[in-house]
Amino acid sequence: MCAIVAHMNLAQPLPFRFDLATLPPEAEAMRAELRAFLAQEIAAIPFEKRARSWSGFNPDFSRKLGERGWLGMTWPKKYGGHERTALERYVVVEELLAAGAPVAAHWVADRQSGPLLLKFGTEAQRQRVLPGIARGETYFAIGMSEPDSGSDLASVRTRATRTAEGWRVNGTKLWSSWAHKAQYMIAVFRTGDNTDQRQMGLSQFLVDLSAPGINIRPIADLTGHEHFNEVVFDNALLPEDALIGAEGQGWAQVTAELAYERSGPERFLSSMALVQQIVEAAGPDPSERVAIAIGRIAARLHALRRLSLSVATQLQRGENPALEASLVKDVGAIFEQEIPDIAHDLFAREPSAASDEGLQRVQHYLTQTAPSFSLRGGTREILRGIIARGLGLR
Amino acid sequence: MNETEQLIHDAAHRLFSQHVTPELLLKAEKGEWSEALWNAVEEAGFLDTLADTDTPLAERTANTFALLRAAARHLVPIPLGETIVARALLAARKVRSPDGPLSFGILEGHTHQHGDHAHLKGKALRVPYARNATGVLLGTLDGKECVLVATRRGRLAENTNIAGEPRDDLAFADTAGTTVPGINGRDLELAGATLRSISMAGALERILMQTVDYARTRVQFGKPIASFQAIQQQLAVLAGHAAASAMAAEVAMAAFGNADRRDLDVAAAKIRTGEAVGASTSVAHQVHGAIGITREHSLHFATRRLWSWRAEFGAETEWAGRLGRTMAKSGGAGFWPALTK
Repeated sequence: MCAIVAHMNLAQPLPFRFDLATLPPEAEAMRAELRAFLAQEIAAIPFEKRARSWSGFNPDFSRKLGERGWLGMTWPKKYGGHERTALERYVVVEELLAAGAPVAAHWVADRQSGPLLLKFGTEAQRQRVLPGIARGETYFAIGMSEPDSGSDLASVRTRATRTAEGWRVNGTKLWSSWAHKAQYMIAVFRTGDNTDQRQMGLSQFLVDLSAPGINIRPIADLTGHEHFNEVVFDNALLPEDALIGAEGQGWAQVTAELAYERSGPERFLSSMALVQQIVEAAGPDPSERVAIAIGRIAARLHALRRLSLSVATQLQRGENPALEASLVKDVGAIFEQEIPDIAHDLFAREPSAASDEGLQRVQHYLTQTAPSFSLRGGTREILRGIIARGLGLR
Repeated sequence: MNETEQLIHDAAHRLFSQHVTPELLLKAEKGEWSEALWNAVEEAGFLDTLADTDTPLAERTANTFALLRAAARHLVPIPLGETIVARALLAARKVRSPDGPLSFGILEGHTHQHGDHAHLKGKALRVPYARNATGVLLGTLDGKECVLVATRRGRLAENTNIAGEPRDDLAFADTAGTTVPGINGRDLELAGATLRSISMAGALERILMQTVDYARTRVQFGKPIASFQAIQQQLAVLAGHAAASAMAAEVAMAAFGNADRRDLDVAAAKIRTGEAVGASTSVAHQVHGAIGITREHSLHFATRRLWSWRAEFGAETEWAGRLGRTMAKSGGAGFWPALTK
């Protein structure tokens, strides 16, 4: 039986690859400017609001980022972009998240909608929306899930039918964050016939959410906070040129969009506000038990950050690190989801919105929202399924 | 990997695949010294991968990581990392390295320096492969300079870790050695933690590969067990631990000799790789079932080493306590700047 190991090819590369990546000096150099800006802009925001981070909607703040050139950073200048590198953008994004800046308004647009349009959109679509995104004025919602389609995205039923006037759309999109405040949505609709191959016959559309026949109803989450929505298309009419990319190529395009959605540092920095409160509550001379917990948090965060940076470097090179992004998101979600439990375990304080202590107020928010971290952007089970496929198990 | 790293990777895997068989590992666990393997490694020129001061440090650390990651996947039963580190530390201080295997450890006791010469008194516990090493580098944790001493000058008591790797105790009454200027016990501790982090990362990759292979070939209920979601989801967790551990270990190796980076990078690596061991070995054994807990099956070569290595050169809690105290000094607002510095 020992022969088993003799046949094992230990030289074979693993299916995932994380090369050691270091931020170039021009990217590192951006930190000082960002921290100075954030110190001024964030100081007045209470800790529990900072905890919302990329769920904190603030158009004024988004516009300020646009003025500074921190949105659409990697895009061509002709679309209002700044032609910076993905690694410079990485520094901006992680500094904003670590500080708990309210970035929700522009987040989806800057992270995935803009890049998707750059890749698959028409020239007219790009010119219409990209400059506004880069100014921090144009916001996007995601139109993927439906009442009967969650993890099983290929089962979407909302249908767009080509007519003489344009595309007639009927159906419902669900969990579309900020659709009630955004101007646009990129949605995936069924355009082809139902076939055995469910991934066929899907197409992506640039949807102007002010179009007649679109009804948007906010849904309160368990904290009472309204960010996601039900978006009902009741015979809504979209213009002919609302189609993004090729008809019937929606599945491939949406997969590319998900790579942008899953690869960023927001997938492990969601609980940073509470990490900071834990360190603050620990004081400069913590007990051994508290020190150990902080050391473990720092170690896990450090490794995640370096993994994420490696993914960003692959994206910069034009590669498609979908498997690597899924790994970082899965490991990252475990980490950020555990932070409220660690805070509870260390200090045994009651989460409380009314407390004088930042710790309790941030606990109040993050304890309740942490379950979403392994749901949004692809559930834990779906990500692990992607990883398993990468490993050759399915 | 660049071209040089790839060459080292390929050469190392070729050499280790040839020498490090399950039979060799079993003999090593019974206390037999792997002479042919050692000679081959020496002839291949691997021992000076980190010591060669003509090559820029960043290249040397990258090459060393490629070599030691390969060695870790094969679980090479010789003090390869220890010798490479000792030779590098000595070369940097222009102290001539003794020929043959070297090791290092922490001295509980004290040293008296007399110029180039030193006398040491005390004991060094669980020194890797001390019985095979011609010389050992020993340092106390009080900041005093290290001493290179011929192993035969100490009183040696053989001991092993749970995987049968030599971890010997050395005692010195009043023994003469060579002072190694500018290096102290803390440097040795950091180097040891770096080596064990890389070893754990490589062994975690090995058990991932081995368990994936097993799941794809083992048939139950009429199909390979890899087709069950319960198995797939567990292996995805193991893959996450392997990926994070390898990254953390590579970052720690890259920080070798970098006084600004190493405290954070090495502590983070030893904590992260050590934390991965419990969950990962649990998945590997669970998926393998009963065959995996037999002596004949090769899974235990990696899992038993992992259970030892996480405790060597400081367990997670020791490093986490130290790192946590440092980070706490920065305060809540200073935590992120400290992590990204």
